[in-house]
Amino acid sequence: MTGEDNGGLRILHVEDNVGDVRLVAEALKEGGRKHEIAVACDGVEALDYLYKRGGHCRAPTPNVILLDLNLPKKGGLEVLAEIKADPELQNIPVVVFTSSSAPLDINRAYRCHASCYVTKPADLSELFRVVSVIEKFWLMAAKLPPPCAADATVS
Amino acid sequence: MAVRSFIEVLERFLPARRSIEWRLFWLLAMTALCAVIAVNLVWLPGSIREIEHAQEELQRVSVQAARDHIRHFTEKLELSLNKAALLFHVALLEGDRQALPDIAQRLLHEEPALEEVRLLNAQGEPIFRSSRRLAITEAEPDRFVFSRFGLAGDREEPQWGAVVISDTSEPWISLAIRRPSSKPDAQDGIYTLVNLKRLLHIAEEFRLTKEGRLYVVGRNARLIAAADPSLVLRQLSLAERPLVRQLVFSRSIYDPIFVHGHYENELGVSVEATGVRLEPLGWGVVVEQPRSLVYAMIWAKVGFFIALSVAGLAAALILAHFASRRFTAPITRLRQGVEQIAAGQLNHRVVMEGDDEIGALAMQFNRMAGALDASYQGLEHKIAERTRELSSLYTAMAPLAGGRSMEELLGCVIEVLLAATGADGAAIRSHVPETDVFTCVAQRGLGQYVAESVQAGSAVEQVFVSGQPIISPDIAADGRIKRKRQTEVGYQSCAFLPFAVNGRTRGIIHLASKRVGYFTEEKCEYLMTIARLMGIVLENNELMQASVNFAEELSRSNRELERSNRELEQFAYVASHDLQEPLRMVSGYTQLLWQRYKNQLGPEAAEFIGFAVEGAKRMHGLINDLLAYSRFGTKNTEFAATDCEVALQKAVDNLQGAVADSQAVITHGPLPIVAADAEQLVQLFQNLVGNGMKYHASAPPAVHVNCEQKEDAWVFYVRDNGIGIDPQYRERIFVIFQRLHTREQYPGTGIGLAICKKIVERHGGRIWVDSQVGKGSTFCFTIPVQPTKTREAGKNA
Repeated sequence: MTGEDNGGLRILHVEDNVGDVRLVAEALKEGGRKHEIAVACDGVEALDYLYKRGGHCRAPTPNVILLDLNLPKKGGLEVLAEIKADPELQNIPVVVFTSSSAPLDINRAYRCHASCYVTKPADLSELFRVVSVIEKFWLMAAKLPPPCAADATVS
Repeated sequence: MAVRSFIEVLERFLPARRSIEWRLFWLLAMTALCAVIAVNLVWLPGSIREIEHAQEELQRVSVQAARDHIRHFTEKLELSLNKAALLFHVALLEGDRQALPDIAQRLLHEEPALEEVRLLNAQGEPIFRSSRRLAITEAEPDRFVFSRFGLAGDREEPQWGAVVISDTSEPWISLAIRRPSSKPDAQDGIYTLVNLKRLLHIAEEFRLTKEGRLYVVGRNARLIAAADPSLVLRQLSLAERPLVRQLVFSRSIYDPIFVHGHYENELGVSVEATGVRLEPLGWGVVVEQPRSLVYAMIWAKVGFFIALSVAGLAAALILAHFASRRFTAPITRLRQGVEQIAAGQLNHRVVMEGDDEIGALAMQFNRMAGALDASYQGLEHKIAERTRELSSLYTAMAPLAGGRSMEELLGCVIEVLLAATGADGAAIRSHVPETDVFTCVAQRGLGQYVAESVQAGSAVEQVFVSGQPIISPDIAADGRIKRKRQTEVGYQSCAFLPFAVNGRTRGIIHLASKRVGYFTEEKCEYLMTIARLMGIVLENNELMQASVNFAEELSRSNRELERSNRELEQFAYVASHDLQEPLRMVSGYTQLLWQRYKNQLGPEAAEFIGFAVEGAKRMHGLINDLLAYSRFGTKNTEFAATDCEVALQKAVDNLQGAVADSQAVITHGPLPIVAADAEQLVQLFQNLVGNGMKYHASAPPAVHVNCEQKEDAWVFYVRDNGIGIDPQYRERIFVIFQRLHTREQYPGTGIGLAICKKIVERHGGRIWVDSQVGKGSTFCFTIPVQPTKTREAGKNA
């Protein structure tokens, strides 16, 4: 029914850099669990996916959103603000996952109610470790929001 | 509080100190005080003595009256007794013993004071006895009385004995008389006992006051009668009183009848007493009064005098106040007049009656004020005239305010010149130094004439060279003006005025009028003022133009700076994001390649991949350092008072790991409080101390930080015992990414000192190094001393 049944998460990865998408996917693969990973290349596509617009009409609602800040068309912070302003989407945890470590970015993200802010490490092993921590946290430590009625009818 | 408010009231009432009125007041007041004291000194002792005399006199009269009453009492008794003695004698001679009781009864009836009558025979035994009362005293006849009989021989005067106490506890006294014609040695006679109640009444009656007393003493100084009978009953001896002794024991005829003195009586009261001798009995009558009574009277007198003096003094003070005010009022009025004149009220006059010195002074003053007023009126008239001129000039000049182009301005200036001077034509000729020609830059009403160039030696040139104006009331008759072309257009009078801009004569103002004698030498000053003002107007315009240009330049470069700052910020942000991503790709995928395919790659692959990853890491470090470096420039926090000791402590805390690893010893001297960005100061200390620890030789590192004030800056020294720096590199080490050692020797990117330099320069200081290779280094930097409180100042205070 949901990703959790297969021992994995439904993740929406919003990221314009294909290399990063692949690296995160590889890192998640290392954990040995199967996750449903959907990728959005820019902010507009991310919102289309979440609102099930255009080609995404059958898209399932993700458990966790991995959000880069530096995105084409619509910036990560704008996407975050829109998600948090929407009553149907605002309970989805958003992990801001970006290369920036500027204090300004960190503060803005938390002010927009990001669930957490993680800087992408430069080193591969470090990146793998961080992704694994995020995966384990949302899978084992954190309680995800229960699926709402709309989701139930869709599935 | 009450005393203070009283003094305040007094000060309001009294005139101001150090004034004439004040001095006069005190003079009068002191005189009055001296007079009062003198009167009291003369009068008071006399009146005190008078009181004492009056008291003495009163006591004397009283004691005399008492004595007369007592004498009357005793004499009457003696007389009756003598009569009775004669009757007894006759009866005894006749042998008529039956008649004796009758005689005795008659005697008792006649003299109520007599209590008992005894008839004695020659042996002193009673032959017959008769008493007033049933209970009769059994007291023996007073031996004293009989001894007196014996001694007296043929004396027939009655003899008074001592006081005896009756069985009814009343004081009685014995009185005896010899029977006439008895034998000389016989002791026969009449012996009686007299009740002293009558004397007690007299004592009561004549004691003068309630507190006073009167008493009678016998010849043995024992009390015979007093108002209080118990004293008599006690048979009190008053011999210890000098007054009593003098009264009863001294028997000289030269002694005064009256004795006056004072003593302390048996009740312990100090009394004033007057005594008189009661002859021939040898008794004394004394009246005494407590001295406190006399003192009370004296004090009442003194009190009365003091009250009178105080009242008199108060009256004198009030009088002195009004008198001093009256004397100084004309002076005050004169002074107020001077103040009024000084304040500008020149029409003020002093009103003063009387023809004394002050009156004369006031008259002189009024005359002077009049003269002053008159001269001031003249002056005011002149000022009003000048003000009118100036205000017309000011109104005319109003259009000149505000910046405008030169042509516009010159046009305005010409208008102003015409309006302010009333001229019919005006022109401004500007001197061109290059060609030495006077060009007309603006004109009105002079037309063709001014377009012509000026000839050598003309009035225009004369004025320009000498700087002195030429004012010509009548052009036609003026020799200074060579060419009289302007007369052709109808001008009869003209003025050439030089004008200066920035202190240099720039040209000539030419004014012309169609009226003969319009411009005269009298107007010279006014015209020159106008010329000077025109110069200032032109000068202002130049300045304003320059400042407008400068402001434009400034705002342009400010905008440029802002734009470049924004771009720099944008660059830093982009660098942090966009430069990092490709790097991560390079290093990430190279590593992934190695992890996944190391078996298929050759033995050199590990080394190559190592170089690639290492390079990407270094690039990452460099980008981060560059970002940090640029951030120190863009941060714009206010400087606050920062304790350098606290900042250093924080820096050392941040370096805790390195300190522990290298076992470094970090010490510091007293450090000041400076105006700085606290966070950057911590970073500065952290970098310098960290460097000192990092570049150490074999010995464990030791870093010492201290500071001293040199002129207007704090100079900080961070000294280490490390490897030192070759002096030729002392500039280079502060340049970003410059390193003197390989990464293998000492790790790092070479950003630390560059950041230090940036921080110090942002605080308005400078940084340098003193070092020799192998002898350690001392990094020095300065921070300007701000007018904030330093630690030292705080400690000294």
